[in-house]
Amino acid sequence: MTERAEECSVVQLGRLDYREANALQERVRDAREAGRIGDTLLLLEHNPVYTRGRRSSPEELPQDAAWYAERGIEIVDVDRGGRVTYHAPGQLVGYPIVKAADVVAHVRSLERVIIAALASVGVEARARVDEGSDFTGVWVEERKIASIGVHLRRSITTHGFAINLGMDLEPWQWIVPCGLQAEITSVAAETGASPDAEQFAAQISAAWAAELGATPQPLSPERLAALIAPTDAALA
Amino acid sequence: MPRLSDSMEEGTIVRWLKRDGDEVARGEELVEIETDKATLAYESDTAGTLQITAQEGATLPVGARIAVIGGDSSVASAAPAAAAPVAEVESPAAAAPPATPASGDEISGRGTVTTTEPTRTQTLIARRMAESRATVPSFTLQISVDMTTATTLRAEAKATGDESQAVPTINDMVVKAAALALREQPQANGAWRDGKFEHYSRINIGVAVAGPGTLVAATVFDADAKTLAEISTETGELAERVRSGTITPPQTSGGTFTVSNLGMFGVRSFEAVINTPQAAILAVGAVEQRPAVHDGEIEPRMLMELTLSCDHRILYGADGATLLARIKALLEAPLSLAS
Repeated sequence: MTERAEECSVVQLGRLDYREANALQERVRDAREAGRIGDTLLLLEHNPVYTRGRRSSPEELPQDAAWYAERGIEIVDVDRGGRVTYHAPGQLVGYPIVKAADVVAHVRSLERVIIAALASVGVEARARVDEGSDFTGVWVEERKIASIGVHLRRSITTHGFAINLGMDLEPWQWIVPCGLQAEITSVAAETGASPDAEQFAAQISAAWAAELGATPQPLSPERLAALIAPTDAALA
Repeated sequence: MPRLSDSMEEGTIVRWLKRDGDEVARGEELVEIETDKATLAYESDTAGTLQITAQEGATLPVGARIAVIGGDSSVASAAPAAAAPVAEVESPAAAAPPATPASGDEISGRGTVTTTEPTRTQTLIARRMAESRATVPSFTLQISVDMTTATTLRAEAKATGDESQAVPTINDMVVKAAALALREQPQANGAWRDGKFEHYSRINIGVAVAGPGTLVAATVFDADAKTLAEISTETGELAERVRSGTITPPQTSGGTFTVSNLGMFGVRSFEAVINTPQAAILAVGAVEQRPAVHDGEIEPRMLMELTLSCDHRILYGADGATLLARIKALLEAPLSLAS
């Protein structure tokens, strides 16, 4: 393993279309596996989109696609586990592309990172590990504030978490998220103040650093693109 | 089901990345498994022919079998593909376990004690039966069915029918009647799993078949949509495969309801153990000539006892009774099964 692979980085990508972000994380994954980069956390926001995992069932999206399209929401089928979920601006999405030996331990660690970051903006949140796999994620009392869904291939993780900051919560009511009829909340709904995604990203970075016991270095999207470029060339 | 994490107790098959029958190499990704919202692409630790035994969407405890990688791909590539030993499935190493006599005669007073290792299938049966009895709050319902018309029709079909075509057995009729009745009683074509109701769109009837030292539920897929003749041919072939040990896992999985018949032994009625996580199992007794009241007269009639064991978590008394009454009505008007 190269020296660089020992480093960990955080990349702030701003707002990205879901498909674009998904393609990017796959390239980052390949670069991580090849050891060209170290553990990398991608932080971003998505345009409004419902994503369906492999285990989604039709009743989770009760309206037809045209109905959702009229409301500006795209539907994307995703190569991950889990059920349907919603992403939109005002939600911080994190894709930690890291080497992990134990995938469930990775999920638990993400829960701790999110809980710590939420505490820094005055939201007391909790994990519900003992209540079963449907309760993976982060909760404020019985309300879900952050979702988690990860994929592990050859010891490298993709996908990750989504934390509701100040997003419009209404589109959550048009689906049955994660197959659960749980109430969804956000930082804004809990505290009355909506944190800026970039500022909250700094809280996530700090919490991630504490969890790792290392200090992640900020990495620009351009620098990331350069680091993962050889894979692009190989694909072309 | 591989253990993907120290804390993992069960996992769900999200997607097979290889198809049943594919040759797989060591290190190739086989399957995606989900636990705790984490999915993992699991790599093969050996090479050979893949036989999938757990379908996509199945949730199984750690250690449960999800597939068998049989044969040796170097052999398989040199020889016709059919040479790959299908029998691998039933763990040939354990198929004829050595009996080990123990020298405990004086102590036990039970003569020479012989300990034998169960086959993997027998271990699985033991575990699943114990699990069913220990965890399923079951109740049973019984009903008598007048099979006089059905028996007469069978006798006529035998006498006049085309010799090349097998006459459907009483059990084939029960399978068909149960499948049709299940269409109207969806609770019975489902499962109580992880605190949720599961309902299945397909009606796949498992037919319990005893083989040498084993017990298998061979699956008749979409039994409600098949003709009696099709069911008859298929159950005949499946039973033969169980007896000859050539049944493959896909032919014994995917059942949504089970029929168990001990009528051929003269058993009048019995209670079967629910094949978890299915909602119910139907136990079929012998068709016997007995006195019965028919049109106000005591007459000799051909009677058969059916016993339905139900998982009360998903199938309640009235629903179970409706199902059983419908099966009876269909069997007593057997032309309704001819469609």
